[in-house]
Amino acid sequence: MTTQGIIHIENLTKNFGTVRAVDNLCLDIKEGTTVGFLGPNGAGKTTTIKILTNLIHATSGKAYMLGIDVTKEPRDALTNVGAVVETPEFYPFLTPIETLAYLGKIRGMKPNEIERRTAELLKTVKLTEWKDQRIGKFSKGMKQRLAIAQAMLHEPEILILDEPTSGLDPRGMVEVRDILNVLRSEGYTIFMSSHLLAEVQETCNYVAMIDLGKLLIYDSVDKLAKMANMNQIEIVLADAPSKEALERIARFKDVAKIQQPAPLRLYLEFTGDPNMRYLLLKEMLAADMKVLTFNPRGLALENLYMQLVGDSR
Amino acid sequence: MTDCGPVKRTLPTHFTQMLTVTRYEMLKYMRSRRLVGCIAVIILIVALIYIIPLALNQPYSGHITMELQMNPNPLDPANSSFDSLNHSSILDESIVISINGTEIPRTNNWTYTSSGNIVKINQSVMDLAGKHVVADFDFRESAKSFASSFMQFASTLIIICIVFFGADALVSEYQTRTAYLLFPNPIKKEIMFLGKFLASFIASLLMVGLFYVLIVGLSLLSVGGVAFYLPLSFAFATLFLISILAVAFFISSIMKGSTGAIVLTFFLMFMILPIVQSVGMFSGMKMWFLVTFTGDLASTSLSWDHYPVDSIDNIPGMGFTLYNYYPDPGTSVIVMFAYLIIFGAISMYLFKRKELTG
Repeated sequence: MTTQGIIHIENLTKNFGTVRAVDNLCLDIKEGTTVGFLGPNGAGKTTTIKILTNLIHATSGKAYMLGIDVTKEPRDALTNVGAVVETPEFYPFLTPIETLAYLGKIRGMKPNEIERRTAELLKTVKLTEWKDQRIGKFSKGMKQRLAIAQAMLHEPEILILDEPTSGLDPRGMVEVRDILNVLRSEGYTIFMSSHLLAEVQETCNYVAMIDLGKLLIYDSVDKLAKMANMNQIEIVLADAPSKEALERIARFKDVAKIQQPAPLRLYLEFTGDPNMRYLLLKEMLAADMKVLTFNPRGLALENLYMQLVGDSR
Repeated sequence: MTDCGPVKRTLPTHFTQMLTVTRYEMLKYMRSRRLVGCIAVIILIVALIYIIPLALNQPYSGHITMELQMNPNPLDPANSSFDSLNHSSILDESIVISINGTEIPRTNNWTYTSSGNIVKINQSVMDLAGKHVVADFDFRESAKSFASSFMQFASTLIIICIVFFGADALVSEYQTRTAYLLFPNPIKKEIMFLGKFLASFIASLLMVGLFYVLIVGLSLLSVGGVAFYLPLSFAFATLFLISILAVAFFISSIMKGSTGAIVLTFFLMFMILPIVQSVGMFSGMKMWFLVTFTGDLASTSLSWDHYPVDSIDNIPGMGFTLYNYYPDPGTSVIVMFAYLIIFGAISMYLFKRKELTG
């Protein structure tokens, strides 16, 4: 048990009739890590999260949280877990303060602690001005922020978040990501599903990809980024390049192919290391090319995701 | 943001968690329109039952002066004449008989029999020929009779309360998606169920209590007393309430939508079971096992000292027999407990097993 992670899933399976939503899933999440749970629609992400949060029952397998099997002892297993699953609704007749007090009491918090944490969290999720308003009047984004606040209320060791930025406007998404980054730095273990690969790459240090209920890959973001096929460079220019300049770059070592999809945009297939990439940029400047941007094309996770999901279907 | 990281927690007891759920469920009810609606229905029902007799010029108490048309007593025409005081709930001691404006003492001159409200005057003492005979008397409806007119609606009102506070107590968590907020918490679903059940019970009981308090108040105001067995009636009403609440929770645990649960509970209690019950009235089968039948105890228990017995009425010219059945208190209490235990246990099990798949 001591070698197990803070979340440990063993051969977890869930059938809905003849459909197998989660198929012998195994996953071990170490304490203090932030794990992005990725997969296309119907991959089994939400089903897995629902099993972890006692919303549905597993057909077979085990899911330990802090060493306690949630499928057998959900009350004890969820003691130090905060969760946001889908976009939860709140009781419309209660205010945020009353809702957080309700949940805090169920979770064993003392009244002064509830008061302190409520004030802190409502400030964090920018709902202080609404603290005494009935939630029935709230927008979806406000409810989502309140949902995140309630998940963090009792300072749990594990946070399970199902698409935490879903329904938020761009500013709200940034705010939630900032909150997640702070939580990560404070040592919380976060297990979050998301469709937003950039969000996962920015927020998480580990990624688990799942499709058709099976785990495709699980590793650190750094390692997965290296595995991704990142051999394309996208270059944006201020002026259209001359024919001579393009020929000079095409002759550069490690440049396999040049594409020009637009007069001021180039895609280079490049197999060199970062040092060679620097030399390539110098060569372009020497060829009198007015380079505005010079970046790897696409996101590492996106490339990997498309590759893995494509292979599994 | 917090300065510290995660905190290890110790959970409160199951009982404390149950009371927390109950408290916040009650808070929800207190702020919902259902509470206001239920109170309005109760006040409306009580007001109608109270006002209709007054509107029909049938006050609950008062004083009447009535001229009597004395008729010869067929059993003793030479010596006595009689007439009946055409009113109910006459206070015997208040009757005063006057002949041509002169009050005559009761002793040896006249008698009053409450059965039939007959006033009989002894003609051997005085000649009534050509004289005006007037009766003055007070009347006041008995507290039992007053309460009985309201208690006929007790079971109906209890069912209304259950529809308001119990019919969708479970299913609404799924339909409104509040289950996503509540269920991932460290609390057993059985405890959540009990907390909700207790809240629905308390909310409904408060409404039924309001009904009884209004009756007590109006009874004191109108007839100067309260039916002796009203507390017993309240006890049976409470038992009936909790037993049909279990049925309502069962419906709530099997339905997928709040509206369906409310409609099914309403029709089951107000139409389906009463229809089955009325079949028994014509077929001679006492439906002692129906929970709605046991609800009549709230009314019949007011006559605890002269508890009504089952009877058979042959309707002349109609060719059928009508069976009047009254719930046997002992059997009915067992039936109500059986409904509570059986439906309560099944609904708790279903609530525990139900998955949030939507």
